[in-house]
Amino acid sequence: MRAHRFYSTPAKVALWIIFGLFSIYAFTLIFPFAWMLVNSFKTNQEFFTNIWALPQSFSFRNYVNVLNYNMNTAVGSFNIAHMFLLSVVITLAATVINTMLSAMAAYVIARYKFVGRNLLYSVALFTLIMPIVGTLPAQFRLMQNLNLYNTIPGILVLYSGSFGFTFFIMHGYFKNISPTYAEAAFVDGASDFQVFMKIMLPMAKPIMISLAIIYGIGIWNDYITPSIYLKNYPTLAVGIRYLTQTMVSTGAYAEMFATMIISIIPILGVFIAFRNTIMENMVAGGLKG
Amino acid sequence: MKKIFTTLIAISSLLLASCTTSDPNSLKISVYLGGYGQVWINTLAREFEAENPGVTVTIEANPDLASDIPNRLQNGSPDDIFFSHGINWEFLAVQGYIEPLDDLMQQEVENGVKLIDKIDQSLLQTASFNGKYYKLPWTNGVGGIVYNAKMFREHGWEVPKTYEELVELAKTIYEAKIKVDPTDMKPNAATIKPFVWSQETYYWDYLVFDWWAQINGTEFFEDYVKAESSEIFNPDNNEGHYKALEAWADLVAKNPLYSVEDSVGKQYMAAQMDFLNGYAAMIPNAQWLESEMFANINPDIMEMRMMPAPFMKDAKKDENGNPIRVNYTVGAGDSIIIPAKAPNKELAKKFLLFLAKDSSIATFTEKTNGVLLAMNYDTVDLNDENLSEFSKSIIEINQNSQKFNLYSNSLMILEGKVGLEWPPQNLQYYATLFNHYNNRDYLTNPEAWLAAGNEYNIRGIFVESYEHIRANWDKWQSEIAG
Amino acid sequence: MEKGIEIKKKTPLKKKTKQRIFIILMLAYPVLQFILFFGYVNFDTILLTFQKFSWSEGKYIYSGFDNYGMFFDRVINDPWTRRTIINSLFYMPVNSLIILPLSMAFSYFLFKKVPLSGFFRVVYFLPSILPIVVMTMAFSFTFDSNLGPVNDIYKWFFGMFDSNVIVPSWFGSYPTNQIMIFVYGIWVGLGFNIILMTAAIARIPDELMEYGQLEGIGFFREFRTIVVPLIWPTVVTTFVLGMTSVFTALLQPLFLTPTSPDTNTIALAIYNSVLQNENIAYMATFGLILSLIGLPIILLTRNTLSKFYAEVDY
Repeated sequence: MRAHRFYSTPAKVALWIIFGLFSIYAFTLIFPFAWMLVNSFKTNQEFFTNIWALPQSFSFRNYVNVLNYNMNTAVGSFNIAHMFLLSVVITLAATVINTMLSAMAAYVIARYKFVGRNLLYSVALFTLIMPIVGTLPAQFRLMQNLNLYNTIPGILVLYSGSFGFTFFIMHGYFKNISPTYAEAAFVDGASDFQVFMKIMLPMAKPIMISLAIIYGIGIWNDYITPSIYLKNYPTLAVGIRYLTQTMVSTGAYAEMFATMIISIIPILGVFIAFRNTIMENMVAGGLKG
Repeated sequence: MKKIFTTLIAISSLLLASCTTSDPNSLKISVYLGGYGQVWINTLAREFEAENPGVTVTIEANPDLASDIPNRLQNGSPDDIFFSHGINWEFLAVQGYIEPLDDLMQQEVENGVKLIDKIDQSLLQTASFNGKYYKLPWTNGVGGIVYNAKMFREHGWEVPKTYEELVELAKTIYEAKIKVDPTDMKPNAATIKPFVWSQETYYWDYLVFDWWAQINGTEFFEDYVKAESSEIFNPDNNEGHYKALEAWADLVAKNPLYSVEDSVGKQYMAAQMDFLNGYAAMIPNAQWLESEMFANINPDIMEMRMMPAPFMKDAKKDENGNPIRVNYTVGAGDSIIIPAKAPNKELAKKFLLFLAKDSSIATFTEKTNGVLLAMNYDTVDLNDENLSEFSKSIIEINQNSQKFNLYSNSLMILEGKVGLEWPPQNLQYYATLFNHYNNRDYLTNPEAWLAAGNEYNIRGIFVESYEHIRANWDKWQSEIAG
Repeated sequence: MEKGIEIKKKTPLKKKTKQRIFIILMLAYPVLQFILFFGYVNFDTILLTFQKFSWSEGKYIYSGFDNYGMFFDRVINDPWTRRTIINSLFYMPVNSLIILPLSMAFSYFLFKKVPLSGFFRVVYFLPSILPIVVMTMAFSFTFDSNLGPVNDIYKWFFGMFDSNVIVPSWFGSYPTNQIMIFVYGIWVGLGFNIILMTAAIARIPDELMEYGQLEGIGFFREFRTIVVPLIWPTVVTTFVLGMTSVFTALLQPLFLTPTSPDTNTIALAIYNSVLQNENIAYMATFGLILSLIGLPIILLTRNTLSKFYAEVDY
């Protein structure tokens, strides 16, 4: 996508004003991050004395404290590196499974007529808005009865719910695609499955990657589900939650910031690395016009 | 589909049932991880193990325990004992998920003293429901005004004994206009204010409720918490409540400048920061403040102490003609419970008896910076060296005051139809009152503004609330499935 | 607006069966998981709305429509219930009528290669990554009377016109505190929507954009006549999802105004009741009724909005 090649002067002025606004907004967003980063190098007392000052004794002691943390469960002892690994495995697996399944469901419901398709869509929308009250005991019982409680496959099953936010975005996306792509392939004798795998999925790649990243971040930061259903294998989010809660309840805020930075850096890295892939335009060529 | 499903469940339940094993020598204790830390339970666990060779105690200290407890109780878990706040234990007990402790209560702890007599008597009634004991009360909280003793000393301020002295003190502090940072040369440099508080205004309850009990006497609450009819909310029979709020309004709401600016909107943490950094002389708070701020207290600025509640003019008198000392028990809902499905109930009960021993009680207080267990401290020997000045000030108040609390067994209260702290719905009035007086007209000319009929009728709040409750009492009663 | 794949009349029955198998295979696991973990679990909740807890029997007993009656009684007689619902309703215009249009505009200009676009895209995504605890802390501290700069700036600026200026209490009085929560929501919500919109705009074929530029149309006209119609399905979906925030807004009031009843929302009320394990059956009814009312409204809105622009495929 190329921008306007020739800009008139009023247009240029407008662009620079917009640039100014964008910059102000960007500054207000970077600010909390920078603030947290700076404060993570202070001592707790320094932070309390002046939350806006620069650290007087710049040091990594808070980070060292966090990295030495160990969590003991019924199956063993986990340090930050273990928890990190667990989080990576679970997040990757759950994200891939969820994105694929959501895309499959969204594609079929968006583009195929069959009995119950509208019902499915409405029910899915309903569960998105209906708040879950007191379903925890029921869900807990279900996980135990299915022998999924406290297992990694179990938590992946929980995370594989395919009628959520990802589903709705993909549904809207698939509805928007011209049938001409598929028709040409059908005429050539392709099966529904081949059309899906070889044409639709590649087309949807950019948006699927965006959605996967959004979903993945949610899983990475989720501590409620693993803290209840995966007690034996603590993820990074669970470990960090314990740490930060202890720190908040004893006023150790500078340490808490260091803890949070540690949990954010991987995500930030992934996002910066993938930002181009998100924006890449992937249009199967040759069918327009 | 259904058949497959039910068969699956049947098979896995069988599998699961055979999987639970319990080792009669292992005990699992789960505690809420908060301001008290976990050093206390770790220490007690090791002492218990030493007294009972062969026994191993595992501890889980979890900041999110409270919300997970109903789950664990209903579905069974390896936990033998829970220490937590926020357990809706009456609801769970009546469904049979919590082990009754009546027989335990009659057992001897040490020196011929039974467990039931070891427990702080003012909290005993908070532990039973439908005639049975289901928990031990956990902590005996103390709240009120925390003040900076160092600041007081440096400026020659006396700790007020009466409400009038408190009012005078606030005026003195405000008018002294002492700069928080003496080197700050700006014309509008911040000056020390008497009070700082936060948008979590219920912290003022700890002081205001003490005044309420001073005026009504603590016996008043025996009937009050039974909540048998709407009459208990009648202001004619309950003067202390509105008089205490009026006293607060006269001191704080009518003097908006006495509080650090925008206290009513402050985050809790920001208010504590202000207090620790010397922006205010006093802050309404409770016994956990020192533990909570341990990492941040700067002894060059702050020496924390808890102030005994200043006496109201109308306070009841004791037999010597002195105003009664009372203290509202903060956190009267904290609980120690044994799950009905606990794998090792006998060992758990043994631990509770051990907890009630004088030595354990002392350990708890020493390892939590002065927090008191809900036990009788008459025979407990606290080693002064292990206690901070703040702890000592709390213990002093606790041991010399008549204690009371607002815990109720009444179904109307348990179902939340009506609240005892601030009827009808337990919403505080502090912010409303403060915002009412914090306006330009009042600040520039208070007398004129008040004379123009703008004074907030506080007694009227209680009259209105009483009438509302009376009108709805029967309807609310019928909504409860007794 | 159904756009199924057209099946030619002379297709043999075999093709139709193959298609059916395809549909079933694709949907098998998602639907099964859905039925188990949402259907079964939520069915339990729906059953709960017809029950009440009996303290004497120690279990839930059938209570017919009592909870439903209580809901209507509260809506009519309890101002705090109404306040909770009204607060929640306002999340919809904030999300769908402020955040959405703003993010569409932002995405458009990012797409137009405003200088530093790449950098902006990364930064605008930050709120989705940073822990909400930190964002709310930074936000509320900025407005604190001692710790933050806003009050000082406010006093300096307005002090020029009014020597007795009083700074409003940002989080201590209603409706200012609710408005501040919305401001916070806009501040953090833009980035997320921008990502969605940018992906949609990126798909618009080059030729269409170039055609417009050759005709010499300016930004506004290009946006209005080319971009918006072409990304309309994505806009509608995001609009609808913004509407669902009425039922899910929870963390922002929880962290910014933790104990204030002024800013209560539907989700927060339910969350608190679950946390305290109190009145669960009534709160389940509360949530269910409101969701049942909300669903047709949301679906109707979606269908109406979809009709605005004829669907174009590309």
